[in-house]
Amino acid sequence: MRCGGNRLACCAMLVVLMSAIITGCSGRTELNEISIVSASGIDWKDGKWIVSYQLVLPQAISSHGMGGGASGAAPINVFSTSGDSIRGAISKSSYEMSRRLYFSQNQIVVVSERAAKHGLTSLFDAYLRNPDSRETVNIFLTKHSARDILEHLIPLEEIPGAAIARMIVNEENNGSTLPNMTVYRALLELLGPTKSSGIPSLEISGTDPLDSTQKTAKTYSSSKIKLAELGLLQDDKMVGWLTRDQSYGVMWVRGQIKQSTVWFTCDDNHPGEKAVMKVHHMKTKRKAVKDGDNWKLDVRIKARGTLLEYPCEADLSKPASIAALERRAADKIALMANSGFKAVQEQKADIIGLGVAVRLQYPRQWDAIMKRWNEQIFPEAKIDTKVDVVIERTGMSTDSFRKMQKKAGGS
Amino acid sequence: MFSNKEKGPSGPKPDSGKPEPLSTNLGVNIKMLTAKLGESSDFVIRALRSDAMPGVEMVIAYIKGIVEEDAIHQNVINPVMGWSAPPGKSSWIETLRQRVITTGSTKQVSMQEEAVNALLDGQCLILTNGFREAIAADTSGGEQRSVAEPNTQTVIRGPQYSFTENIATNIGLLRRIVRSADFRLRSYTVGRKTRTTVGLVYMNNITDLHVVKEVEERIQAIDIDGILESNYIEEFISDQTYTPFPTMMNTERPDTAATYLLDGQMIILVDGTPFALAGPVTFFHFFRSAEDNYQRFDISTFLRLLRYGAFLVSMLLPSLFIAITTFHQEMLPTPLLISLASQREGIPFPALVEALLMELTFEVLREAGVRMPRAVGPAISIVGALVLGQSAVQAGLVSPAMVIVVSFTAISNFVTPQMSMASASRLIRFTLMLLAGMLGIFGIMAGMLFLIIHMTGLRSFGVPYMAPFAPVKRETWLDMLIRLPWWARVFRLVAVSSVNPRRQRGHRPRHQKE
Repeated sequence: MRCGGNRLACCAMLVVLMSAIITGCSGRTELNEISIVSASGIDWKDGKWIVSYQLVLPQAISSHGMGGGASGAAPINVFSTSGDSIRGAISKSSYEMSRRLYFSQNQIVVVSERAAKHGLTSLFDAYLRNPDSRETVNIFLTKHSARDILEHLIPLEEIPGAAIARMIVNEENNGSTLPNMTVYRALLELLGPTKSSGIPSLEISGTDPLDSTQKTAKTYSSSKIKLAELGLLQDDKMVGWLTRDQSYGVMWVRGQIKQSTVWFTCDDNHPGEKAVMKVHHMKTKRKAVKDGDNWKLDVRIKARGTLLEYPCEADLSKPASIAALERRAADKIALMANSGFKAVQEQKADIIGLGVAVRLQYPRQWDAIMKRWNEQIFPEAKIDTKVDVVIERTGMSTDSFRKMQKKAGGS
Repeated sequence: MFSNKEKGPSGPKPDSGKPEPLSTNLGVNIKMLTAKLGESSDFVIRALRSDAMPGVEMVIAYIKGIVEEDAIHQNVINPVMGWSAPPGKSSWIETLRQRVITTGSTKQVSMQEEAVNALLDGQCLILTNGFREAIAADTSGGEQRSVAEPNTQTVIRGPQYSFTENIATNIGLLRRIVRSADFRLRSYTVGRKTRTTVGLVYMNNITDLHVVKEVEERIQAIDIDGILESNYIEEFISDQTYTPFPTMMNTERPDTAATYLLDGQMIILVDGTPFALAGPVTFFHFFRSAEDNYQRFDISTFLRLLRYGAFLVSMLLPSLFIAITTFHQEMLPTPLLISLASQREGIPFPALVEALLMELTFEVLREAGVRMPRAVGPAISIVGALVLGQSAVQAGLVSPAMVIVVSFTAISNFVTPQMSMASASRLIRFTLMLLAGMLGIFGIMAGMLFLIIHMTGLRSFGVPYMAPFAPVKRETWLDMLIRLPWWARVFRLVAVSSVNPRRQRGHRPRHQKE
């Protein structure tokens, strides 16, 4: 081809050549030059950050049909580096790694209680500043060291980091006891008016941690990773824990229940026998009300659900008995919500959202009380909970088993 | 019959010179013809003498093999032999031509060159002593392939015949579909040595006559010694050569050609090839298959959209794979990334080299599949599928994912109904792969941008390549992109068909309820 004869072709050639010369393929990273981090852990010990990494060993995971491979090898490898700063610690990983650590596929970050109490400013800053640290990573607290959590295998699952991330999603969708917190959502709350957030924690139950594939050969696990309590963060520090029940109440007040199961006494004569309702739809309206010098949170909860268990004897074909049942369920929910509210008040960290409501409804007053909110005003606040429950279906039967049995005996 | 338009620049032109007239002497003429044809042994000269015309010296000359000898015997020799020449020599030639010879077309030639060309066209020449004029009777024929099923553009439902190598047959096939008085045919002879007949077919009231005139001029300007296939013409007359995208389509199906005619396109038939050219075209024309019109509109729409997708896949998939696995690993879901990473363990080459290697291998296989003798076919497929595919993976030279990517790309390439467009995506693929290997998705986007700018600038006989989308032509863009029900396809597709844009009234059939 005569160059100059066609400018277009020449330009194309030039672009290709230039990009070859200028870039030199230098931005390229082959898949076997990176090591994928599936979970990372942050510890604070003796004035230093200890960062732990859970690396995925791809060969061990998908050794199916790849001609043997290293079966029996653990699918992950955990190691730690320490340093004065988090990123500094990470950069030391090159002393012991043949590959570049690849954080973009990181699923969870586990922060130990000690590190959380020290303060997480540098962790959050690292997340906001670096493009390879994704804010969609799930964040967890733990009372153990973060590294212990990372070393723990999870039965059925190949990548523990991803499994824990799915665990909290599963919990959010089916239990809704603990919130599913990503770094992004934690940042949103911590940068919000009340500067507080609640982050779920992980615990290892059992004494013999599942840290080798030999131990998974048995039909039961000697120990397990479980979702535990809700850690409360105020500013950048952890201030205390809420139990699961308290956390559940908070979830009702915050309106974060996606699907959950509520049980309540259906007959005062038999307090041990509980009716169970599956809540599949709920809505919470929160309103701040000024009450003298105090503030009050007005909570209106509407929940709809299906009856799952009913051991009592009322005639469910009558609307009145359904209404009674709904009232009992509503009372139970209100009780839980109030106890959650009280527990949060004791920790002086407003993760309920009262502060947010005050700021939206009374912006002028908020400016004046903002500084004293968590310490002085929020713990004095009151809650007024009104719950409205609708039982939409009673399941496939109307009468309870016991009633049917009685009927059969009577005839 | 066919006007001879050889008037190129003053290049070497061996059979040029001043046109010389035939001689009145029969012997001189015979000598001249024999000499011009180099005393070829297939040149037949037969004297015509009969008792019915004493004293008349007459010969018939033709070239064996390109004439139909039966026709010569029945329509020329028999009647001439039985003819009793009237006195008054002056009207002999006229009488012979008009009353005696019974072939379909005859003409009178008086120039040497004309006479030779007539012989070469398969006509037989009747020379009479004492006359400068000879009669050329059209007896062309000879062995030719009969109309058969199409080989390259098959359909499940629809007409099952294709063009042949004979242009006269092809025109006939086309005329039999479009029985309209608006059917127009212009013929040209192109090629100094091959003197190939090229036919330009268009519809009088549908095709823009300015474009017809332009095409006519481009065909007449062709100066070449031989035309053996329609691609010769295509490269000469298409608007731009330096582009991977074809600006003319080809078809071997008469029904498809008729569709193009009715859309306002022109058909160029070339003698000696079953592939007819069609133009002007737009980019989107290349994704319409003949069968789209013969199937229900819903499945046709689905398949057409699938073809666009497959075209993009065949152009982009390997480059996207390279870009994502070497630059943007964060885009992949974790399980997929881990699966890909485990496959890449121990692969010695970078992903770009791996992909290029596999793509080139496939191109070699494909070319081998086309070129090889039929008998060795099974050997190639064993070597190709087993040795190169499976063993390369087992030997750890390429990753299984790459084999899947390359195979799917290759298969997607065959979905495009027009091979010329499929080839375009094959070439572009390699460039994009290089760009992806160097710059990641940024490189692919840069390349695509460049392509789109280039395509928007392309013209096919003055019609913008990206019409009806750039520039926007609202009436036809839905029909171009998807296949509407027939009653809704009101407008002819090509932008040039401004002469008679409506195909039909475009009403929904009255019996169909809303």
